[in-house]
Amino acid sequence: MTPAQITGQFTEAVTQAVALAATVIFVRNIIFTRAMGISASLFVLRKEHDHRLFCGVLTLISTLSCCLVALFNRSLSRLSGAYYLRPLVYSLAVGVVYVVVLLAVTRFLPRHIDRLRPMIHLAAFNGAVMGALLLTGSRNYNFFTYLVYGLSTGIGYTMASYLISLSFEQLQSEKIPPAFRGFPITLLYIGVLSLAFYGLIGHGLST
Amino acid sequence: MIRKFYQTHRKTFERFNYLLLENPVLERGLTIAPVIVAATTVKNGLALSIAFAIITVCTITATYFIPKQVPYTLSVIANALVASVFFIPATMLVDRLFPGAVFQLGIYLPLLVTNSLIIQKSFSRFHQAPFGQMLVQLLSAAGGFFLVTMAVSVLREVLGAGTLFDKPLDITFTIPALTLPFGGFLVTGLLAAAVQALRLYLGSAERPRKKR
Repeated sequence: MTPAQITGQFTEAVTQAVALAATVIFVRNIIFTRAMGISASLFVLRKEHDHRLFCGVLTLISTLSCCLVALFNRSLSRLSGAYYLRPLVYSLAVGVVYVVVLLAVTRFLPRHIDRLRPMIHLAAFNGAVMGALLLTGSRNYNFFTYLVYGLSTGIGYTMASYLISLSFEQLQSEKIPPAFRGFPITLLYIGVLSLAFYGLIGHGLST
Repeated sequence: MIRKFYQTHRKTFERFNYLLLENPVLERGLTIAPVIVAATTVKNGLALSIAFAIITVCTITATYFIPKQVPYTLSVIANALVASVFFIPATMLVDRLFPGAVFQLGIYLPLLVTNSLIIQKSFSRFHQAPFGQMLVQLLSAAGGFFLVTMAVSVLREVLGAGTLFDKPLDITFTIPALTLPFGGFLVTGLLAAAVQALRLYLGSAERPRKKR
């Protein structure tokens, strides 16, 4: 293979990765278009936990889980009852990642374990992590694509959670009618953001 | 009058709080993703409710017997695995009752195996209660999910698509955006506000009537 061909292939791979990441983060955002992992994000905000830490842990678990599933997903897809078996196999994969991350944190970051442990418990079986696996599961992507998908899901989740956190205080305000205060108005706010992100799909105005 | 009746029989009503006043979907947004994205038709709503009831009730009941000495991490994994096993008959039943619904629900049916009631609330709420009380709470939660899913599905199918049970209705104007996730957030948010208003009304003290 000539250097020009290698450069061409590398450029194509990078372009595809960037395009996939942009799609997963903005157009198919895990919160705004899939509504996954909302309750965990709101729980972290309500309890005033470290929001960025939670999103970081979720991104790590989502990326590792996608990478692990990439190793055997082709074999799984060949089975006749793959649809029925996917949740079982993916739960097992997330479970393995969950234990490994907990053990690694206990071993290498013992000073931070008290802060990290609840975040790991909350992030491991989060809807966003399982959602990322199920969304990629039915397609036979290569390992690199799984890696990008898992990472982008976490980044998309972080961005969406950040946008929710910006207005979280105001949405609990006394100025909001009691019936809407808190959770109901937060849902309406996420809905408006969801509509804005939906616009990225693109629609032409009728003339 | 309704408030007085509620406050007199408060203890009885509180046993079934998950049905409406502490509805898992409308109070904290637990298991909200399938309702927002997939509950767009009555058929989908019924399919989701049946699958949710089977997976959640059976899993939490079965894992009630896991010894308390088992570490939390392993219990969580066990819950997810047991739910994945119950997912198989639940999906087969849904496929038989509503042909095509499994395809339409896509990833939102398997996503039920990691719903927050199974993963988190089973330890903090359900498994803390005596077995009989837990069963009542679980059935209330399944009933609550059914109520919300059906309300959201009916509104979105009628107003968004102009159909009911896939049959066209004589409606001139529809709001197709209601079938998008945006519509799901909007309808669920409004339902959550209605339930919050009811909760505040029932919980508050009765105001003395003004004398004319």
